[in-house]
Amino acid sequence: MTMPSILVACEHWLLQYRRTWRGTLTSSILAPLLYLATLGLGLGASFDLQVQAHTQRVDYVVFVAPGLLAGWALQTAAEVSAYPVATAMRMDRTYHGMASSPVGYRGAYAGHLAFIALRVAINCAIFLAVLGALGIVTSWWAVVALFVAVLTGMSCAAPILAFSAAITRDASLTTLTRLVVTPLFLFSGIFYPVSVFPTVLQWLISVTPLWNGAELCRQLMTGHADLRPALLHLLVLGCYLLLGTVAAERMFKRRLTL
Amino acid sequence: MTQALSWGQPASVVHARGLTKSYGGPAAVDGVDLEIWAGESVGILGPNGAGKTSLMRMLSCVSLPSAGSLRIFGLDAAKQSRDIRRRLGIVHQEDILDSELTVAENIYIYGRYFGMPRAVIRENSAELLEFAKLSDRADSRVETLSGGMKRRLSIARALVSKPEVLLLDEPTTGLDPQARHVLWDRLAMLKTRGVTLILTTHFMDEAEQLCDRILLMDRGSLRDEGAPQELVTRYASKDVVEIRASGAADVSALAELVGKIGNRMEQLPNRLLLHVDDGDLALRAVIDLGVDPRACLVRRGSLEDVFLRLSGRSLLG
Repeated sequence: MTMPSILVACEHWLLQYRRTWRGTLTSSILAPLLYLATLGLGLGASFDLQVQAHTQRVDYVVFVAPGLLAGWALQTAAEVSAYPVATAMRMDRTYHGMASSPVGYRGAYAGHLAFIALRVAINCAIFLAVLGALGIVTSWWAVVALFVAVLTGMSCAAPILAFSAAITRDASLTTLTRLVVTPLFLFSGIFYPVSVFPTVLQWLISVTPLWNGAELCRQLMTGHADLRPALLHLLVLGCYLLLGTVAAERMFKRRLTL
Repeated sequence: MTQALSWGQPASVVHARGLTKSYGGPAAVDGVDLEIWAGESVGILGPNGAGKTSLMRMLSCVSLPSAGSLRIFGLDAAKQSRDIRRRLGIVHQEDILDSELTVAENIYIYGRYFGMPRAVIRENSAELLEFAKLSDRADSRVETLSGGMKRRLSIARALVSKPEVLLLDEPTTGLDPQARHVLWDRLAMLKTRGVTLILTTHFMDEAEQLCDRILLMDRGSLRDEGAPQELVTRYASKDVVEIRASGAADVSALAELVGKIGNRMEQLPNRLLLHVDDGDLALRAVIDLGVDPRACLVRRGSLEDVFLRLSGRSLLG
């Protein structure tokens, strides 16, 4: 696998994206606005909610916004690494075209992951910009939180891409959304602290990529990031990304070169 | 474009020894020895499940051999597959086109896969679109094209990198006769330009039209090879008398009646085939035995007869 292979495979998806970017940009701006309006400004303001975030109590909107940023990274990652991958593997067979060119199967999955990273980064940057415009984010640490959000998205995207490349029917993607993506979004400490759950459940949640991403984003955006927990969060995210990439490599090899 | 030795003998582009591919069960390709020369047009023929596609995938350097050695352009397919793929053009059995992109964009992005500069691809595109008779559809989305147009686009796309060898897996399957003939013209044009063509097909007329040499494959092995006419001479008689019948019982009765005529007889569910040296003489003999002349047809022995004799009719279902 070489850098040019990854870049030209990524260029393929960019060429496709050129047709649809306007539509996705609109939803990228609208979705976070709707979430913030409903949860942060609506729910939080109506009940004058304050939530414990580490050592301090903060307004609900300040608590929920970093979590939503990480959650938005997951949503974007799931959207662009599920159906498009399954379609490119089984319907359009785009990957087969790449695998039989100098791009190869490695360039095919790595190039798609690079494009997904770009999409996640764009969506998260827009989300952050919206937060900034609403005065919810004031710290420059938010720039680091953007990096963490992209890493969170990719730590979810890589395993989803591997799964989507492996499946033989689209119904499996519906199952993935219902049983994995949605529960992750709802129970990873985005909307409320996970301390409300029993210890066993808290432990389970603490090994999910989204909880680690949301926690680190929250620590950075509220200005309470400690090095050791931050490194641990990064390690968990890095592990998911690494394992997902290894699984993707194996799956692409199996599907494209046997 | 093609390599040639200094004294004029064409270079070997494919050299395989004991080439084998297995997926756990019986080998799909079983110990194939193969030599293909630059500028040749080679057809791989065989019934479904013969191992043609598995062989093509190995020649495309997409699938690694399970055993044996494969060298393409003198390079080791197991170790230098990327360098080999750079010099190949591949047309898959199914059109692998991006339906979201336009015709021109499909050619463009495929050129990019080969690391070609954008300006060079754009320069080549006009010529390729002209070659594929798609100039007026350059900006059309692929999903709006007919099957024949998609196939021509697949070939144009495979040619964007100016490959030395073009591999085509069943290039005209699913096309109407008109579209097939247009494609044959395009492929014949490539042949005159010196591009080495390696193709699989189910159509004997296609193989006869396009190929200098035929490799007959069955159950993973090469059964025989040769020029189309050589194979016909070797395995089929000069002429064939076909006698139509109304059913199996009728065929059996006919076989009893005319069985002594010719070199070989084949009984099909609704036809009797007599393989003979002189079709006119044999026809006269058949009519003299009381067979209705309107049920008889004399034709030349063909590659199809060779194919059916070697692979057997049962495989064709």
